[in-house]
Amino acid sequence: MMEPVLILLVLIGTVSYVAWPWLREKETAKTPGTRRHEDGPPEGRSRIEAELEELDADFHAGKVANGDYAALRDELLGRRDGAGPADRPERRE
Amino acid sequence: MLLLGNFLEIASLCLLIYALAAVTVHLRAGRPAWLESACRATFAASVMVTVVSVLLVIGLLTRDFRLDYVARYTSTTLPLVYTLTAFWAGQAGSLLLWLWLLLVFTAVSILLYRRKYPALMPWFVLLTGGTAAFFNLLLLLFTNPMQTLEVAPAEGQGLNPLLQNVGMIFHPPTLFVGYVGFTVPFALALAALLSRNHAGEWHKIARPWTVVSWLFLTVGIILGAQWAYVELGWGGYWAWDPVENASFIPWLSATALLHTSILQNRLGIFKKWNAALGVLTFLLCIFGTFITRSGFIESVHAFGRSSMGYYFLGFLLAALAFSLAVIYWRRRDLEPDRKFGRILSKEGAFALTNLLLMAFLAVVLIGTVFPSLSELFVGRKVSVQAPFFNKVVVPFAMILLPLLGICPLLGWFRTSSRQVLKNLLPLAAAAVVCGAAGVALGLNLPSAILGGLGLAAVAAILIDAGRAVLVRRRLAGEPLPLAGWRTLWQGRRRYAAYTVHFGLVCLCLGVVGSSYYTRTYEHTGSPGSSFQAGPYRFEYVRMDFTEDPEKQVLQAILEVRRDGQPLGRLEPEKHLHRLFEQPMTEVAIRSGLLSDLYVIFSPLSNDGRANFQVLINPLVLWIWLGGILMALGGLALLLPRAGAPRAESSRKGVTS
Repeated sequence: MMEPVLILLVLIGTVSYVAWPWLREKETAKTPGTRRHEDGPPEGRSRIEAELEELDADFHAGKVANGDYAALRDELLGRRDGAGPADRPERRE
Repeated sequence: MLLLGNFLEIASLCLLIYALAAVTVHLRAGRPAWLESACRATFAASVMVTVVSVLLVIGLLTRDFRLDYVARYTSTTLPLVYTLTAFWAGQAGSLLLWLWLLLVFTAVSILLYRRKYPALMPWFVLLTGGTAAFFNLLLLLFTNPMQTLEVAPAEGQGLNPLLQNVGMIFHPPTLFVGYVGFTVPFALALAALLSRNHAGEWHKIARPWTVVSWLFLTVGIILGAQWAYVELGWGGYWAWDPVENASFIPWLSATALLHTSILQNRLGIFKKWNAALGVLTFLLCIFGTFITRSGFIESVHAFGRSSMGYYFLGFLLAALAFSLAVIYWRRRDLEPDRKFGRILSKEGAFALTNLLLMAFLAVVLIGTVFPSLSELFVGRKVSVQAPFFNKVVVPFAMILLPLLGICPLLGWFRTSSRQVLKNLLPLAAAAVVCGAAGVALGLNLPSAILGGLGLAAVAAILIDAGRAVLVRRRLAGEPLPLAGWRTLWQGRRRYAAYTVHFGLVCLCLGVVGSSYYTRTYEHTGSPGSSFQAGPYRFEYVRMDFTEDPEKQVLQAILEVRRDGQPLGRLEPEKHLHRLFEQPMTEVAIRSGLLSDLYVIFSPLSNDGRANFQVLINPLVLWIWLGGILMALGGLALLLPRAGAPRAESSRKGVTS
């Protein structure tokens, strides 16, 4: 006797829970499902600085030759100059 | 409560189907209420399957033999812990566990990502919900854990004694977490491509899931090997059985994914490859489940032939076709940010490692399915046995181990050949010297080479870490301990990966030692007799007989000495379980850093006459230690990257 009542309660509770968004739909803004998003903010400065640090460490550890080090460092410095001030938090819809 | 359990199983399937429909409508109409409702339906389904799981646990604990599953896998005399682990001993319980984990992971992912990555959610819910609905359907159609018997038996059939082992408490669920966890990276990869959002960085969002799943898969495989070693009583730990291979194959692709996702993260290359690997790993996990449950391949671990296999095959093929179509369709979103540089660079070594892992994967996969394929096409089953795999694994290890050693000595982007030679020559020389010393000490050539390469790889790791500390001390002027700590902390992910590599080398050396140098001795005698096995002297003291409600136990008492010094007792056993006719061997093992003493006991008569097989297995402990190191390294890989801002991974969560 107990079990059918329990099942009925679960059924009512589940349907209400799943249907709840319909009841407050008007309050929710419409969002598109599959549109291409904008590119994110430019590459973070802190990330490039971490790469620079690692390149320096590799160079001093003898993993990168002098010529390669200079070229790669210039490339990273160039990217750093073009980067945003810092990694920004996400833009919300 | 049985009616409730059955109702909840059907209701969860209905909810999942509703969620799929609601998401589809959301994708067409764009109304957020549909998506929100679909997410809620998925949450509700996960709660329902949780309740079904709890009901099964209650059924097991109360030995409710009205439930067919409980009657099949437990008995009134089964110890409590194994009564609980019977949850995953059978087909129905293990599928329920899979479904429950999948729904919990899906619900957690939705909660974590729906605000951060709203554009991914519809496709994510569609893909994970679709997979969950498939498993839920299988449960209802083929192997319902809530199925009841018309007449409840007074006693259950009991749990297979082989599964009554500590390893079986942890091995299956650990492996399952690994298998199921890869559903999330798969769904995130395809969701990113389908929504055209985060296509270049889905791997960053999925990284914790990839690492955790890889970690659990690694631990699960090692625990499985350990269980086989302790419980199966044949002296080995890995037999290249199809079901063992089924867990190893996705591990290889997951390992490849972990490596190339670093390249995508750092250089913006290998994007298509990573998307394909994310999909492949998931599909291989499903393939493993298919092998275990379909009867497609004969294995001692499989659940036996079932028409469920056709459903798995259908799902597998459909998922493969769909995934390939999506990757092809969105290939332009996966263009690399830059050209692949020189092969003599860290990324070059990563790429080579990846190719090697993929080649190995292909060989193991082909070897695993070959018997069935040959039967299908030639009409004759050509079985591929362990010797084939053992032969193949040696050359792969001979290439992989040097790569482990070379990689730490290379820089990103490019390294000059002269620089590489300068760094590598001392190590190559060390490897040759070690190998030659090994041969001089009587090792065979393959193991001497592998030993030399393994030691050189470890040396390379230590040299790289040591150099980094010295450089830091010189540049920052810090005292050595501080420089050491800061180097370790700054490069924590790198050193975590090195720990994994170090563990892998230990594991390889253990495999080499135990594969090539196991010695076997045999003795048949009565109590009071003694025998020599290598450097060990055994005295067979007596045979004891004990009995408990579950089984009868015959136990041999052996005193062991080495060079006259007593080492203690070994007590191998033979069990005769009340509900199973087949006697079970419980080996006695004395583990040491250099070798294991492994004793198998076979009683021959009631007066105590018995046969003993003694195996001296070198370096087996290194396999388990290697596994522990790999697990610890895997755990450390979960630490956030040094210098990474907290919101970095969510930078592009923008929908126009």
